[in-house]
Amino acid sequence: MSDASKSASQPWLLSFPSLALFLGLLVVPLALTAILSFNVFDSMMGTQDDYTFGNYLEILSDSYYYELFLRTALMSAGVTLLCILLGVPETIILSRMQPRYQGIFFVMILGPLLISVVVRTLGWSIMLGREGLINQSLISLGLIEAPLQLMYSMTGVVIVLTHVMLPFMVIAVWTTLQKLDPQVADAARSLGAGSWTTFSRVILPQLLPGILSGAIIVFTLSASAFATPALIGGRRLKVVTTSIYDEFLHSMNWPLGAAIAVLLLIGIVSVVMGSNRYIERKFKQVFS
Amino acid sequence: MSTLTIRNLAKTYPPNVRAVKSIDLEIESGEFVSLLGSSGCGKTTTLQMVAGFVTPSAGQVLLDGRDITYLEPDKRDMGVVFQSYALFPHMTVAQNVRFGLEMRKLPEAQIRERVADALMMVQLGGLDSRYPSELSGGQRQRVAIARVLAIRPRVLLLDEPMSNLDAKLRSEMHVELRGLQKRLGITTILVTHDQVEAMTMSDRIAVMANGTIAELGTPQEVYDIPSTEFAFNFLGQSNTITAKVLGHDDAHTQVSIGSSVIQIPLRDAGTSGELRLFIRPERLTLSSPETGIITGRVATRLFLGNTWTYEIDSDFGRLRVIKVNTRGGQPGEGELVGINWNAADMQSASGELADV
Ligand SMILES: Nc1ncnc2c1ncn2[C@@H]1O[C@H](COP(=O)(O)OP(=O)(O)OP(=O)(O)O)[C@@H](O)[C@H]1O
Ligand SMILES: [Mg+2]
Repeated sequence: MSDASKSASQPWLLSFPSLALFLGLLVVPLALTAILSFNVFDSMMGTQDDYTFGNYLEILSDSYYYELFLRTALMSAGVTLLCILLGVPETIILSRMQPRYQGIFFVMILGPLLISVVVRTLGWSIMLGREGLINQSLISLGLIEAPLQLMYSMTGVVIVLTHVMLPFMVIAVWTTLQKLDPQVADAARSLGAGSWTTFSRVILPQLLPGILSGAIIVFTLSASAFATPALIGGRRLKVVTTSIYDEFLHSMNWPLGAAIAVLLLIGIVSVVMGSNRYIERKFKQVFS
Repeated sequence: MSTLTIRNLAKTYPPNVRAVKSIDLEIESGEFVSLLGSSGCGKTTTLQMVAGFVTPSAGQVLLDGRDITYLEPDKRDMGVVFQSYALFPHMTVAQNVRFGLEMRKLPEAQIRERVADALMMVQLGGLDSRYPSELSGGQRQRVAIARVLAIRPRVLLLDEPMSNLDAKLRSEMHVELRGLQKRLGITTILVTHDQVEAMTMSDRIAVMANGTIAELGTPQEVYDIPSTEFAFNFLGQSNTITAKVLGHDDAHTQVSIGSSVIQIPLRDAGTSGELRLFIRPERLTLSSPETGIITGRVATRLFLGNTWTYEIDSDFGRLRVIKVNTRGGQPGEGELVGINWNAADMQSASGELADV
């Protein structure tokens, strides 16, 4: 074997195991789902071998599905916004802490990821109920008179999703924050900027790439989250993932479920690619 | 413009790092003072306390007589050039330079004029719209300098601002910056560990060691008549000779070194016992063996272009001699030579390095 051919095949050989894993576990199921979404469904006889665009036409012509996708997008956007508003200050406070407290608080922030989704969500449903801790506290503080509808509502789902997603935002911002030169803030101060101006004009813009990548992660994970919307939102508040589940397991309309899943995937991928392109264009010169 | 007074300034980092032990310095209006010292002696910490980024553990900083020890950095009107440049990475060169002017709420026309002026001063015209990541190290450093010159600060604090420039650009910047500083009359502190930089630019040099000022004076004073052993060795080179004091007369002190007896400028009449003497290599001259005060044999010689450096074994131990590369014969290795000096150049340390 000549050197040239050896070096050409070597990368493929070396990456074969991971490629096989990738193909077997991701590409094949996705392709099967995509094919399934074009199958004909008959309510009497189930999934047929014929192919059709009917499933997609059904979705695209029904305002119910538009509402469903819009609701999911709004929910994810709300969670993302809350994660930014809470996560950025949280990370900055964390970075100013003494090292020994930093460790403890890091574990607390990552906590939601370490607990099983079922346990975490059940815990929240106890807290969010009409007789739950949150409603009772608010009533005894005199802030509200009647209990708020938190369970089976958008508010509840957004609160619980924000709790789980926050660590992803904190980690993304933290990584960017660690790369900042603390003297840059000093330079801004000595040039006459107060602490607020220094934050808004010097520190925040430098954190922006981290915030944006955190936002992408949070948005996509929220849009594809299933357990939290299913358990907190219940049957009353449907999002895309829960309706896919319903199509598969209740209506048994697999092709329609697959079509919704494919549309969700397309939606998420285009959000990710769009924001990536935006970030690259905006920050290429600045942080190369 | 502004006088700066530093009184007993000290900084102890937890748990017990005494970065700066006690600094006293009075800087006149428009004066250029360098803090010169080896790495880790507390130069940056001192500068940061003056700028307001580090809170002193003790002492005071006064600007025109007003106590600013605990004043916020943005209220001090000081221009700081950092060791790491600290440019704003998300702003272009022009935006970096504008920043301080915008903070001062100057009218747009004036901002533009000052930005252009400042960039011209540091020879960076035409790079306005580049980002810091697209500049070389030297260019970044010059942006940092332009950024503070633009605000015409009351005090200029420079932390090794030229350490990344090539030799030619650096010496150009020395002349340039010194000229600007004189013209604008800005009181300036320069932190450096480059002796040449400190010597060429400063009105006065403060030689720092272990968090204190070991020596303070004009460049000639600290080089020619330093008072501490540390300064003799830190600034330039010195031959250190151990001598035994024999006695004193009206003008001289007699000491014995090896088998020779020589005279040095009068020391305190009380001085007795051992004495350490210092003489600069360039103050020793070579002659034929018969005419030398002492004789020695050339061990090695190094050619440096404009000078020769000789290592000579003599009665005084090994001596280093620096000789200008003049026309004519230079003594070779192994040759016997005479060594001469002016009695006044054989100095001794009059002060001790304060160990606070
Ligand atoms: N934040 C800090 N915490 C603890 N120790 C520090 C801190 N900053 C500086 N020091 C210590 O204080 C001493 C003086 O530091 P400083 O930065 O003032 O040195 P320097 O003279 O500027 O040195 P260089 O020429 O290398 O820049 C050093 O021993 C350093 O390790
Ligand atoms: Mg330093």
